[in-house]
Amino acid sequence: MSLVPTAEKVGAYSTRYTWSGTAPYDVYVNGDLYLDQTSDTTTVIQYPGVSVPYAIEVRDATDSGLPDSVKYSPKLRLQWRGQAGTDVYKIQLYTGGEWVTQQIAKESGAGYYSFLTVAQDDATSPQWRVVPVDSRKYEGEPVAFTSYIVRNPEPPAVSFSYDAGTGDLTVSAA
Amino acid sequence: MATSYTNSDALGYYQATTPHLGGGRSDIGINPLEPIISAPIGPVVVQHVTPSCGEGAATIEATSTTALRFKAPGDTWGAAVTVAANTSALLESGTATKAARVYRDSVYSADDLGGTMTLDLVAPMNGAIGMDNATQTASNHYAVIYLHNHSSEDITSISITTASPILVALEAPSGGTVQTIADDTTAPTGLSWATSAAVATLEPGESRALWIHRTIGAATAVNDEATTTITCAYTYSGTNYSDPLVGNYRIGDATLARYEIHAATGADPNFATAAATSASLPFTYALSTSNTHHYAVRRRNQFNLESFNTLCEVREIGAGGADETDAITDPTVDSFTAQPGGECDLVLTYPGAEDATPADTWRLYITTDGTTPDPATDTPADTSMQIIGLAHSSLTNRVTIGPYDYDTVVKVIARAYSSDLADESTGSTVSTLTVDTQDPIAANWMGVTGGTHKRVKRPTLDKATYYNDPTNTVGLRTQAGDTELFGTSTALRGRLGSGADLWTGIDFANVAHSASGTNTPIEVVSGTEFYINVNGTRRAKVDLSGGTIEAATFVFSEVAIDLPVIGPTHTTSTATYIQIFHGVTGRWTPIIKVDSSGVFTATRAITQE
Repeated sequence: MSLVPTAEKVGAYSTRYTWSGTAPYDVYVNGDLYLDQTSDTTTVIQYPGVSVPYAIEVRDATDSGLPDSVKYSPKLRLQWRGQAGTDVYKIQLYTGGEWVTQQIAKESGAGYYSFLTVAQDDATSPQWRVVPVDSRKYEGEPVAFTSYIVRNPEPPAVSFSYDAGTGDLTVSAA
Repeated sequence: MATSYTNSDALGYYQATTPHLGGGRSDIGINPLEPIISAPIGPVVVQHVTPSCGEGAATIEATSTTALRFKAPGDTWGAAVTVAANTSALLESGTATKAARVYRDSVYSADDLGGTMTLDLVAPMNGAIGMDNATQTASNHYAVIYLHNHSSEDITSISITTASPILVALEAPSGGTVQTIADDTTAPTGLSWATSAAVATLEPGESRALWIHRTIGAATAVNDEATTTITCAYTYSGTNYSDPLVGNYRIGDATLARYEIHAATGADPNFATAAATSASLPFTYALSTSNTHHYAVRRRNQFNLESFNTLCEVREIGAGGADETDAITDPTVDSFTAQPGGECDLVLTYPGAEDATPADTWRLYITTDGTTPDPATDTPADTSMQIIGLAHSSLTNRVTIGPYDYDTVVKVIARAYSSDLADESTGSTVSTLTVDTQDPIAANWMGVTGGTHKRVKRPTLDKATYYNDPTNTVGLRTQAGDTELFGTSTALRGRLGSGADLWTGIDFANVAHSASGTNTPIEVVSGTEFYINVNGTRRAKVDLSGGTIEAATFVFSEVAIDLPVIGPTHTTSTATYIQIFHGVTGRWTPIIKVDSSGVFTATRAITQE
């Protein structure tokens, strides 16, 4: 059972998290191990350019089993077999109605290649593909990947407004 | 030595030409265990791992430039097998019923074999065996795969067994195909469903379609990793084999997919139980009067996983239901006394350091004509609050006004003003004082030129220490309550006083640095690139062109570091400190610490803008 840290916004794009439990602690941020076996009980997470602060998962020495951040990893691992005659592989994400290259991997004779995507949104089926490209820039048959993402949902982007007349707090989409 | 498509590899599992729905047998094999490969051996293609290996870490090792051996999870090494160029081979583990079929692709790579590759074998999610995810509504799903004898001998005594809620049925292809269902919820016809099925003999090249029927009951529990297991046992060349075909899927509950508000009064909620839920936005939640409410909204998905966020908004609701969250607490006038030279001193205390947005300015409405000050029409006199020490719950300052003529009646309404809110407290208490001192102002406070009444300016620091002499573009500029680390533009600025913080206009990035550097606290590469070094090692980098400050880890510690060392920087063998001078206490204290592990610690709240 993960700890519930106290969160405090300390800057426009900074949140300080404080927790207590039994050291050492593992701290995961958006699926990544951020602090490994630390005895610290506070940390500041920067999230420049992101509208909602990253949520963190804090595990202490009494926790067992896989953390949710690992068991329900928000990232996809793409693995493909190298192809003869290839110069580079374009790793592309289908977004905004087109394939957008996210990374280029050089064919090095390794045989198998893998790419860990950035964190994907919960309850989506992002489409990725790997396109082999030869030295003359001709593209080969892509290898397609997709998977339905099941993860701890991202903190929702909401805004709050209060009506003193009704005493109601309204939670709206930000 | 076993060869490919024999022994544990004799019975193959294949997709249908219309995947999972029917038709003929495709050439695409099904891997009941998917290998996630690390440290690959370039020419080696892993074509198939027998299901009997089970999940876990398997290993393939080159024992020579032409031979490989295999070890299934939890097993011992099998015999090494020579794998010629552009051929496949069956690598049997120490337990011979566990094996991997590999292909040496010398067209892709003519390299010799060498090294050790690890295969993390996992049962797939939502594959042919597991099928798609389901919800709690009662449902039936169907899929088909092919069993195919791709050996050159008969396979006998094929026995397929499973357990509820899975049923299986066999269909013999006619003309190479079986029926095709419209979708995975359409039942195939003419089949006898049971938890077991059998084939007496499957001749070389012969296939059977294996239909799978999964039933989900209406009240089936939510499960983020349900498993289907179908065991396929058979006999080949006098040896019995058993393949567990495993696939995973999930069972969701659509009603769980919702927004949840967690709320408490006076403190953050414990996030154990939601105060209210809603399937959609917007929704409302009632806030009680005379309480300070802490709340946050999380999302939960149909598989009962919820967000991790714990950052709460705080809202203070007054007795009448008004939102008093941003109310600014009024200051108190502790004393109001006449001073030599006709000046008057007000000692003011602002007890609202824990206001949601604290004030930073003393605002005084002053009259000297006997009338009562009117904040609605009068122009106030503002004075910045001076923070002395760190993290006090209240703040007391002495503010001097005047000078006034003898016998002047001075009336003051003191308020606290927040420049962030552009708002002030609402107090209207009038403090009155008649100027009754005739003493001259003390000589040491007299002006030094022309006899004008002017205070002598207190000595302050206002100097820069440069680290790239003679260019002098990178350095630390220090004055009381303010330290700036700059290059061609400001990188960081530590500030005391109202709104004390560590300010920066650039981003933080978790990038560890460990290259050797100079034995100076700041090492300059250019006016836009410099490092904070610890004991001759670069540990933090300022990249003004890229807009980043890089260090292995960033930590914010509200606790001031007590380090009675004078000067804008201080270095030890384990840390480098950048310090700020406190104009009131006269002490230097660290605003930044970078240690030999690359941990960048800020001692004040960080402001990024």
